[in-house]
Amino acid sequence: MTFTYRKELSLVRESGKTAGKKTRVPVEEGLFTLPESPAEPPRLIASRCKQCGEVFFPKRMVCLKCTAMDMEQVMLSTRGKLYSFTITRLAPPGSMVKPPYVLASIEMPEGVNVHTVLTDCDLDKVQIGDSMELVLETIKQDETGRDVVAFKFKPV
Amino acid sequence: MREVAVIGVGLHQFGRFPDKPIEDIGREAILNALVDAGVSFKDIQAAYCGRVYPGMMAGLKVVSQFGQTGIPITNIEQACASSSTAFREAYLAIAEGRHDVVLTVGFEKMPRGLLTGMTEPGSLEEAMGLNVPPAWHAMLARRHMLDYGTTKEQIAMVAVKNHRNGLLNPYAQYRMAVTVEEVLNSRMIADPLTLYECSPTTDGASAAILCVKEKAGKYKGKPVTIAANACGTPMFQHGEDDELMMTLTERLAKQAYERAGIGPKDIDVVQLHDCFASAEIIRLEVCGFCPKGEGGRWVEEGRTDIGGEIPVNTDGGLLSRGHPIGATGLAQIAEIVWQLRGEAGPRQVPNAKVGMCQNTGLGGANVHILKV
Repeated sequence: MTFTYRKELSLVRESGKTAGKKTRVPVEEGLFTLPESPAEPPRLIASRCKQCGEVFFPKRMVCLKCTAMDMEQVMLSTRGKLYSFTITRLAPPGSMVKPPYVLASIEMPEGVNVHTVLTDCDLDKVQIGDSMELVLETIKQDETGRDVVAFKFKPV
Repeated sequence: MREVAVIGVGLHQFGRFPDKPIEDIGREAILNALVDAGVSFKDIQAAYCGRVYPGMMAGLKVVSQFGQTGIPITNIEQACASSSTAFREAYLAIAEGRHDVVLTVGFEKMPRGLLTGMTEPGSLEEAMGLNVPPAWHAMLARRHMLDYGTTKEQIAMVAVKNHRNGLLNPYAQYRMAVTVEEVLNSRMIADPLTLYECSPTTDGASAAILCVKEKAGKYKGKPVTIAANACGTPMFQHGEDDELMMTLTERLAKQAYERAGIGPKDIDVVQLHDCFASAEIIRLEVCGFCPKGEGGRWVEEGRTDIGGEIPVNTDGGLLSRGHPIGATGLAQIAEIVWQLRGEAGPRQVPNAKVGMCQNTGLGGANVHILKV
């Protein structure tokens, strides 16, 4: 079988500006949905390999497991389990989140772990295995006054 | 494959030298290695250079100070595993018959604070504050504590042991004894990891001269044979990524044991990549020195001390000797060479014949086994 990579490979993580007159923009395009209605929960945008079924977040054009380039876009569940966490007192240069903050790894039902920041969380109560829910949070305003939105998780 | 020996090693003091150019830092380590081996630079047929932060063509700038002899000088960057990869390339170049005598060097000058440059400026990881290596290791440590009952005191004991060993190493960045209480009470970085449980940023250099074994007798340096190398990057695994490369390290250790025809029980002394105190415990386990989950207890019981069953990081490790990321891999090699020659002075492991170096970087990892 002849194997050729398609051109979409170069579009894996576009970081372009969102066109139009939106008042909210994502910190990076293609990571999560930004629903207009507050009733609709946001979702993380992932890829599922149509050959082997493995799921990846952020989305990928080539499967890391079987190397097939046959991916479909899927949405991750809105909830996952806390795999591990730490309160970091240091932040890298350029971070829009100011320390101290809680870094966490969330085990999603689709079999992928998501690295994230926890919000609205009582540090005396949080435990590995706790149920966590995806939320969107404004982390800054851009130069035109729009809210720049990132995803975090919070205890359910 | 031809047998290859290390015939000379040398270091530049590990510490902070903001006013010293990288050429001077690197030159001193190379000079020490050449003198140790009794090799003239005229005999060097190729050089492999590990570094991360020093810029373009740094290898040429550092190595050619000894003469413009026209040899190939290759720059290698594999994050914290840069100079162990340089060592591997030098070893393979000789083993495969391309050269007989090769120089390998690691040199580094680091900015203070968290590692930078892992992702592009403005990336999601940077913007969301996800690029925090101590936090990654803290999360893994918390998981290890939950899964196996490892205690924060046991993790602190790694830092206590490595600082005790570093006190005996004149090249170490931090030569100070610390107690469990002092480690636990030092500044919290990412719980459970405190300042003394995190490797520092460091300037320094390390070098080794390698020679095809059949010609090693021409030189005065006492040869130490390279019994095996295993090098690689993570393989995909479902669920939690192998970002900290513990599964990779396990695979490489197994490959290295197979290639050397030995097992972990045959290793007399080992340098493990203790970038964080908890990482030494996990790497002790994945390299097969103790059963999974028992690393903390082994440290607590003194089984990894000099004089214990498997002495770990006899030179102070990354925590005390320091961690100039491009020079760490070859500093591990230098310590094992001194140990196997019986030249490690007050930190000598009695009768050490077989040693191992395990160096992990975000760009890949290496395990080397050396023997006399």
